[in-house]
Amino acid sequence: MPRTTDEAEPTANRSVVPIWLIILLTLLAYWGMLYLNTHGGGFSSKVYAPYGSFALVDDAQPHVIGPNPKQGLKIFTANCAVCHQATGFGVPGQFPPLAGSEWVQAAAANRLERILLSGLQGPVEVKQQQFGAVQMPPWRDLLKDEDIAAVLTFVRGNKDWGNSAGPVTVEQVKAIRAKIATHPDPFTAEELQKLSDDE
Amino acid sequence: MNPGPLVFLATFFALATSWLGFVVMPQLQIGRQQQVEIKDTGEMYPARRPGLAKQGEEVYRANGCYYCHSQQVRPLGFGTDVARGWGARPSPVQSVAQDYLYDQPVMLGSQRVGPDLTNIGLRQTNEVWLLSHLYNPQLTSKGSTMPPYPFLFMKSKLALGEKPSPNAVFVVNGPKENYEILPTDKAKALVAYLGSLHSEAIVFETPPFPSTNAPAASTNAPVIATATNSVPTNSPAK
Ligand code: HEC
Ligand code: HEC
Repeated sequence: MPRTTDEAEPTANRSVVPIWLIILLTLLAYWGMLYLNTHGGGFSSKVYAPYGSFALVDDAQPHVIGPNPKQGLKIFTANCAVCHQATGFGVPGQFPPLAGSEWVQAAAANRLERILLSGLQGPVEVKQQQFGAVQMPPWRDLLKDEDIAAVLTFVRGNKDWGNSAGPVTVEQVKAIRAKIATHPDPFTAEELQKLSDDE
Repeated sequence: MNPGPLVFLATFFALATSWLGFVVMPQLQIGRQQQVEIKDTGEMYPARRPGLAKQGEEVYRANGCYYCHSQQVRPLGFGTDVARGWGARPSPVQSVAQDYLYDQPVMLGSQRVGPDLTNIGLRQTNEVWLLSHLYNPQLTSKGSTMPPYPFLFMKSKLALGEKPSPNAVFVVNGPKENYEILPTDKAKALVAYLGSLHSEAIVFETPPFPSTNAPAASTNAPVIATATNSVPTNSPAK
C-alpha cells in the first residue's frame, strides 16, 4: 500500500555516544600511534620494513675493511696513469713499473706512503731496472689521506698486475704525513732504504 | 536542527585528512628522490630507460599488462614474493621507491594473475621466448591464462624455398602455405622494456644480508659504507 503524503517523515532520535565506545576508540587510536611509532621508521623515505628506524638501516649497511678499491681506481686513472700507465708497467727508463714492484708490495707500507706524500728523486732500482731520470712529484697537497690510502690499496692489491699486498689504511697515511712534516723534499731511494719497517 | 554544517564539516575533514595522507605526506616523504651513486659499481641508479624500452613502456601500458602483473616485490616476511624468486636483492628489503624514479606512469599493478615482473629482465633473458610467449602464451606456458597478443606481430608469407628472415619468431610450414611470424616494432619495444625491468642494485634502503665470510670489523681500519646516500635529505621533520 502506498504511503499517504500526510504521514510524518521518519526521524532519528538523538542519543549520547556511549562512553565505552569513546574509550574503545581512544584506545584504538592510541594503539595505532604506538604501532606507527615502532613500525613507521620515523616516516623516513630511507626506511622500509622490516627495519623500524633509520638507525637500524644505517647499522645494517655493509662495512668494507680498508679503503674502497673503486675509489682507488678512479684516483689512479686521474693522477698516476699518465706516468705509470694504465697497465701499471710504466715506461722503461723514465717511469718505473708499479706492477710487480718490490717498493709497492713491501709488507710495510711506510716507505711507499712516503714516496706518495713527498715524492721520489734520484736513482732507484725497480724490478732490476734503473730509474732516476725523472722525479716523482709529491702528492701531499693534492690528495687527501683517504685518497692516498685508496690509491695505494688499489695499487698494492691489483690482481691484474700480479700484485697481492694488503691494504693501506687512512690512519697509517695520517701517521706518516705527520712524520714527513720535517722532510718537505722528495725522498731518495737510499734514504728510504735506511728506514726500518716501523719508522 | 539543520545538520548541514555538521555534514559539511565531517565531509571536509574526511577529504582533507585523506588528501594529506595520500598526496601531501608521500610527496614530502619521497617526492624529492634523486638518482644515487652505487658505490660498488660507481653507476648512477636508477638508470634512465633507453629509447626503445621507453617506447615499450607505452606498449605495456596500452595493453594493460599491469592488470595481471605487478611490479613490486614485497619485503622478506611479507608474503611469499622472495620465496617465489621474484626479488633480486640479497636483502630483506626488496622494492623501494627509488626503483620507480623514471617510471611514467608507475605501473605497480594491483593484482597478480601472472607473476611479478619487477625482475623479469634478469629472470627471462631469452628474447625469442618472450616474443613467442607474447604471440601465444600457450606456446611456452601450456595452460597459461595470459591472453595472446598476435596483433603485436606480422604474418608474412614465404614463397617455396624462401629463406625466413633472421628476425622471425618462428616459421610455420603448413600443408597449404609457409609463413613466418615477425615481431612489429611494438613487440620489439615491449620486449626491450621487459628486459629493462630489473632492480637488483644495492642502495642504502636495501642493506644486504651480512655475509658470513666478511672480515671481522676489529681492525683499526676505516669503515666505509657502500651506499653514499646515507644522508636522509628528504625525510620530513617528525
Ligand atoms: C709525473 C709523472 C708521475 C706521476 C704523475 C706519478 N709518478 Fe710515481 N714515479 C714517477 C717517477 C719518475 C718515479 C721514479 C722516481 C725516481 O726515479 O726516483 C716514480 C716512482 C713511483 C713509485 C716507486 C717506484 C715503483 O715503481 O714502485 C711508486 C710506488 C709510485 N711512483 C707511485 C705513484 C702513484 C700511486 C702515483 C699516483 C698518485 C704516481 N706514482 C704518480 C713518476 C710519476
Ligand atoms: C589476464 C591476465 C594477464 C595479462 C593481461 C597479461 N599476462 Fe602475462 N602472464 C599471465 C599469467 C597467468 C602468466 C603465467 C603463465 C605464463 O607464463 O604464461 C603470465 C606470464 C607472463 C610472463 C612470464 C613471467 C615469468 O616469470 O616467466 C611475462 C614476461 C608476461 N606474462 C608478460 C606480459 C605482458 C608483457 C603483458 C602485456 C602485453 C601481459 N603479460 C599481460 C597473465 C597475464
